[in-house]
Amino acid sequence: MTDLPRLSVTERLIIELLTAHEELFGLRMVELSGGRLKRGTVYVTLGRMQEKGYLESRQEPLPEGAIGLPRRLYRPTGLAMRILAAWKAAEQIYVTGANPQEA
Amino acid sequence: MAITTRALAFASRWFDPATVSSVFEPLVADWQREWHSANGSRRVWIHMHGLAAFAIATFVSSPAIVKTAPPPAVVRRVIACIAWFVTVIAVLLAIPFITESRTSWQAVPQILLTLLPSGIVLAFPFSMLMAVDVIRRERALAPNVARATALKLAFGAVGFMAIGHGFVVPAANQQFRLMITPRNVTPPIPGFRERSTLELLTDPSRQQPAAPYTPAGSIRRELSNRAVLALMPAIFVWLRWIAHDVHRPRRFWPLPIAAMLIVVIIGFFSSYWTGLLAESAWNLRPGTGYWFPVVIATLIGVARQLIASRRELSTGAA
Repeated sequence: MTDLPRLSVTERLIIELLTAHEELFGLRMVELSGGRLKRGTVYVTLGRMQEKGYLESRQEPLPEGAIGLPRRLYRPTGLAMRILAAWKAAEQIYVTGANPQEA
Repeated sequence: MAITTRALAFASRWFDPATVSSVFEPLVADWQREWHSANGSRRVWIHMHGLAAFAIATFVSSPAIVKTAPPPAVVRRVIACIAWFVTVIAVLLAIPFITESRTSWQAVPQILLTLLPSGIVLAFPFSMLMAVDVIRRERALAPNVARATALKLAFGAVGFMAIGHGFVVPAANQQFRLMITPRNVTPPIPGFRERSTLELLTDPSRQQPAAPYTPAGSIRRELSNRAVLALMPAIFVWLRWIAHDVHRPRRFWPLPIAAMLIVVIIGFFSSYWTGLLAESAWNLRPGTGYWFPVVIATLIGVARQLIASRRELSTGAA
């Protein structure tokens, strides 16, 4: 039996945000989180989540006339969606007290 | 925009390409786009927020610097270079004391053993100049690995000096004094220099006001001296590192190590004694004068770094 990978509160929030919006860049996630994500740490968390295989990213094409670096857009992987679903199911069982073997 | 470019350049110098690509590039990209889409005074706010976020991301990612391991061959070369320099200087410094002590030749090894720690901690800070050269000569080292190696060297050197000057040297000095004291003379009581840093820090007389020529003042001076000497290796690492970064249109820059050593030794001891004279002449708080070399070295380092960044900008603009 394999252990269910851990999901921190921040990681869960990021996956939920990305599930709701499909693809987002770091700063937009901070804005949408209502203060729960911080600008200084979100990129470090996003980098770690990419390493774990929870997220994938692509560079946004630069708009015409824009200079600077292209923004990075993140989306959740299937693994992240499965882990989130598993944790939600586990929470449901914990809250309702239902035994999955009885069902 | 220059600020974001410089922030990213800073990150590239300190972090591995993977961290730069996954953490700092997205951060800077969002920062740049936000700045472009704003105007007027809001841009100032954006830069302030961006800088704060960058500083926090740097701090949070800093364990990556600690985990960056230098190649063992470089570590061996750095240690060998420090060991050679320190041993030669420490032995040379011990010779006059051995001849002055007029003890029998059988006692020389023991006396040498008690004298070596003082010589080692005296020579050790200056060996940092050569150690930095060893690291900078390794052209194959990635910039972040070279910097991480230098940073670890600086921290390690400060720790070495704090332990050496704070605990080993006082004990060795007292032992030396006991060894050269004739048998029919009362053994000398350990002075402030012969007491460990812990003993000085916990001395009850520190509760008294630290005026000049009082025990509290003397302890403060000794503690300041030890703190400054512990910091000096890190400052020398920084100064020599910057010397390599400042590209001057001169044939001999950075100065060859022998010339640099002479300049630094003269500079250090001149500022050291000037500080002590200033403390006495201006009746400054005990121990203040010891910080003079640190202030001078920091000013030189900051000025050099400003010159380096200006040259970098002008080269970039060209």
